[in-house]
Amino acid sequence: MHGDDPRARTVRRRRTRPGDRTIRFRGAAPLFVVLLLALVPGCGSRSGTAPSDEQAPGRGGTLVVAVRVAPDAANPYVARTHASLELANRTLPRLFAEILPATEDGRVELRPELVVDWTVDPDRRRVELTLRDDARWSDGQPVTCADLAFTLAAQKDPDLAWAGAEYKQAIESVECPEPHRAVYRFSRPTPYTLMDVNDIHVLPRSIADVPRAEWRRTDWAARLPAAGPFRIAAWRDGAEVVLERNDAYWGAPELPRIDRIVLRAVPETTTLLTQLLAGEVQFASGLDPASARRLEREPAIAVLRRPGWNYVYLGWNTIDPEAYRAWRRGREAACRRAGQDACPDPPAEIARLAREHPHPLFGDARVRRAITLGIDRRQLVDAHLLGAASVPPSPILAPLPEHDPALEPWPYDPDRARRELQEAGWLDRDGDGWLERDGRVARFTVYVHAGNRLRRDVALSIKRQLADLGLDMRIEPVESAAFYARLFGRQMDAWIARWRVSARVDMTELFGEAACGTGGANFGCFVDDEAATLAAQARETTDAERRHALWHAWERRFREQQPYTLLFRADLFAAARREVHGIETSQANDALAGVESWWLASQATASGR
Amino acid sequence: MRFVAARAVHAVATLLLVVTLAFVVLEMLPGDPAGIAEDPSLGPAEQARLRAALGLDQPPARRYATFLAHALQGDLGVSISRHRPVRDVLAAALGPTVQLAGSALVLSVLLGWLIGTQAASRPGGLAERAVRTLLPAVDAVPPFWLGLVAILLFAWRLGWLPAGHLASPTPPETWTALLVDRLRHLVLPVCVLAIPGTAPVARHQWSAMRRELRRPWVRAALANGVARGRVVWLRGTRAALLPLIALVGLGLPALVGGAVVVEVVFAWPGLGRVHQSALLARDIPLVLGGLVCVSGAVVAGRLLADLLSAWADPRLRRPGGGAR
Repeated sequence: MHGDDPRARTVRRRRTRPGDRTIRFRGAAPLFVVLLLALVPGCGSRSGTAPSDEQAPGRGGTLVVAVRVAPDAANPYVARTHASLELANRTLPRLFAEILPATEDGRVELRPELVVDWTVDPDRRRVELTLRDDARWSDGQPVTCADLAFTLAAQKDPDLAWAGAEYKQAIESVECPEPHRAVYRFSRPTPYTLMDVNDIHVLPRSIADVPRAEWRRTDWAARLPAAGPFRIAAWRDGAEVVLERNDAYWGAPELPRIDRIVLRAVPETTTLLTQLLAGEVQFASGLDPASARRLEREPAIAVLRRPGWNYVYLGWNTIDPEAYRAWRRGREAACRRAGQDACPDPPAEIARLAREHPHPLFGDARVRRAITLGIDRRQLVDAHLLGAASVPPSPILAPLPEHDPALEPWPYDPDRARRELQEAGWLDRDGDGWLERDGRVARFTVYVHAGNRLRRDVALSIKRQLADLGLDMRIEPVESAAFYARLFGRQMDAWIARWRVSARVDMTELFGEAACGTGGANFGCFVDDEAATLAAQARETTDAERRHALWHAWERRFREQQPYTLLFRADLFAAARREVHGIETSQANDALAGVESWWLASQATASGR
Repeated sequence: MRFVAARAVHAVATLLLVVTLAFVVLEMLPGDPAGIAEDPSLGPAEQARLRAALGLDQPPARRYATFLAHALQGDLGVSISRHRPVRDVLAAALGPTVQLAGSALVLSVLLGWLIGTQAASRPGGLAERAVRTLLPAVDAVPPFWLGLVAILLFAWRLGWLPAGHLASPTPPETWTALLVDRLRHLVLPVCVLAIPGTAPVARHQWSAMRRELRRPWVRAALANGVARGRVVWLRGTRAALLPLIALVGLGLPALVGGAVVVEVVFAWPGLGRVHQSALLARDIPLVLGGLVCVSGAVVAGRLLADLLSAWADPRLRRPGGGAR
């Protein structure tokens, strides 16, 4: 690797002289030299000259965007990939665009799109929206309140089984006093009233003839009209989606400035980087820090860095696995006797197990805290993410107002970690280097996704650090389906995974007792009365200041109890060629946010070279 | 006719066995067949409804029987991950794979035949040295690595060829420009897939030709004044054709396997990538449909090779004879 070695730069410059392009293939030796040089990063890139930022915005052209995984459906209510949601943000209307802050002092913003005016009643049981009257679907129909009512009915329909249906349960009805006025009525006040109304996209009522049970089998690319800045022009399954400007968009003819967007699936990192450098692709997101650092050295490429709205954590199973297995055998026998095919884990029973049969290691908050103290997370970030991440103290991420900015993450303090372990009764009594208690060695297995190299590497570093404390950590990389099967079957001591975070804070989903059963996300079944009370109060409190104070108190309890060891919050990287202007609107949760105002300096680049 | 019928029955039985084994293995894998359980936001009732909607609430034996019954009528079900009929997904991906694997097959056979024949006709020459030393090394190169090197060298460093995909994002306006654009995109993946396949073809052709060129009829033909080139390239090749046909038939599975890797590296929208993503998504209808398609092509290729071998060597048509 060349890094910042000035000699390396000299070599690079020299090799990019035109005369050096001539390669004579006489015998095999020169070929191998060329192959080797080609493999060395940083040698002789094909960088161009960045256009001046003072150019007037241009129009037209094709923007080629690389995505790792192609969108799987044009209808976001049946889609499984994040790329599909980003695609829907371009083609379907939203009441508001939810903008997550990109800086420490930023705040969540709901930017009106389809809505021109709104009022939320003080009791938070009624929301009135006035819609734009110039919004139309690409089939010519106006976007009206009837579409909002149709969308809500679909969102709440059990036949569709939409994952976000829970957020709509408090909405009783949508009334349409006028085509462009909508009144949402709530059965109870919720803290995030506008967000509950907003999620996610508005669908046209013209698709009402497709039974919702059939939505997952419907080819929506050809069926769904658009009302966003772009419409789907071609859908090449798993490979490419072509978007063309939607002339029916309310911002037309000024917006969008770009004529076409081609989303191309490029699963392999080297191929993606090469296509970006060669100009075949002009924008790519979801880059790893090493690739981003490599691209930052290219004058033809601009790299965007944003704090990610997700975190990677080490989760702990707080239930004794043997006790759970014995209980589960009994439960299955009871289900068989009752003739029940489905035999889910009732949350209350699992919570009872967590209280009465705690995991020998992770059922004790002192051990969990000791492990957090014994992992040098800053070093993990520096070593594995090249410093492009932060260590969050809480799963409520900064700068959300529900997060207490004064809260600090636990420092790396192995001495204190040892003391905590001693207090919990874990001592090295036989001098073999491993801690024991009641004849049991402090040994456990952490499961990681086999395909995720970063998490495997991080797990290895953690293993080394915890070995210094006398904890014998084993690592088990498993394929994704097997990982989830073990996680839901509680056949894990610990696991490394990631959560994506939204601006709507509700920690009962991850740490509440009700989430301990089948289908819940409290996989390790963390139960703590104080934290549960605080979270239950906070999720029902509509007064913002009081709600924030409650979440701050919950965070302090989380810090004490450490149901997760939060490892890092990785920055997200996107890169664009310099001919693409306006990319500052790109968001961490939506890389193509604001693409309708982007423009291309040179349309000639659109076709590749 | 009997020979053809026997081979066809064998091919169908192989296909059935492959599909059955694949179904059993997929069922045995841990986790949810449609990855539904990977979404923790779905409650048990929603998961049950989804399973019913996707037909996953049926017992495996019934699902397998239904799959076979529908497959015989050409209906391979609906893809869980792509929300479209499996037949449509595969049909869209089949063309690019046939382009890629077919071109690579032709190129590797042609190159291998040329190098092997040249090596046998001129012992000690450059071609023979290549067959003995260079080609075994090429044969050992993984297509994944070769693909990345080719991309870095020819797409980025030299800028001669595109780094992947089927065509440019903005299609050229004229028919000839379109053809040139498609061919430019085809060059790198085809070469990467064909080069490792060239080595075994060249080695077998070299070995078969050496055997043929030592036979008395060659000496007789040369003594009667037939030109050496004519003896080597026409008559010798025909005589050495049989092992070459068998080799191509045997090499088809490796070619298809290599195509999966090459398709991922070059972002080539073919069956390999469909299969890879279907496996990751546990999309059983698509995995099975893909298997029927790929193994059907391989079995058909082997059947064709058997028939061609029997055409080239009538002894193989006798009972007890078989393709070598």
